[in-house]
Amino acid sequence: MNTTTQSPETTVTKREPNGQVPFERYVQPRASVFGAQDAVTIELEMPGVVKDKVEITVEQDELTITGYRQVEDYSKHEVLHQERVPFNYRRSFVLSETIDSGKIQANLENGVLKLTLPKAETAKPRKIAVQ
Amino acid sequence: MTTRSLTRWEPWTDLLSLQDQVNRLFESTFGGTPRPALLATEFMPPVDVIRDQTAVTVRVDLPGMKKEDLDISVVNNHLFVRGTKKHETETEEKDVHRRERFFGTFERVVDLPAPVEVDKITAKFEDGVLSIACPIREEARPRQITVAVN
Repeated sequence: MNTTTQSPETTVTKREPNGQVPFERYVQPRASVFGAQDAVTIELEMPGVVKDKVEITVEQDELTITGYRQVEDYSKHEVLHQERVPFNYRRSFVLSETIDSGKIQANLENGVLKLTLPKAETAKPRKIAVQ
Repeated sequence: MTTRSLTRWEPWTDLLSLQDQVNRLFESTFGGTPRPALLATEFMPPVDVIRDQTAVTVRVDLPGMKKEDLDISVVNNHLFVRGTKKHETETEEKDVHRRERFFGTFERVVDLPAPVEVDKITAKFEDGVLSIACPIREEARPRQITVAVN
């Protein structure tokens, strides 16, 4: 594992020695990606996930976000209609070299995880004044 | 089926939504990428309806929704959940690389399977999940009748 983002909201993924994550069912969360000059923003929709159930890892140039959904117990109920998918969320993104992966920030609000990926100082556009 | 999908029937909405759900399931298995939002102005959040002896519970996934933009009402034992999901101002229309999140208005209607105590309905919105508890009226609850044997 190369770089790991660490902020109060996130924890580090524990992987098996062979790099495999124990099998579970995942669905890809919907995402929107916006980029400004000095940072890229990723928004992921992960309803039913609380902030200590989010894992964000960076391995080489791959950013992986996993959200463990709180699944309600329906065993004592009669299920009349079910559309919500009771799976966890996982999605990966390939980071551009311009991203400073050590400075990624994450914030979870109302089931939307918002990641701010600042660009490295050297990658920011700069004006050079002519002497 | 106890849930009407939408009051205004739009065949494409149902079809696209189904296609979208199927796509997402396959993509999650085969590692593809979800498609961008096709219908940005009207969307259909997923709903669960469950019941036990005392209450009907309705849950709706509404990530990024604000509590004050939700409107819940009951008419003739139909539960209406309506709302408008607004764009966050700062990320609007600026250097968009990918847009899959839905914004706009929605309406879902649930035909409640038993008469409920309208005044005692409670709703909470946590982690992007709206949960509405509708207590079933006393007279509609199943009850055990003990037969007296002489």
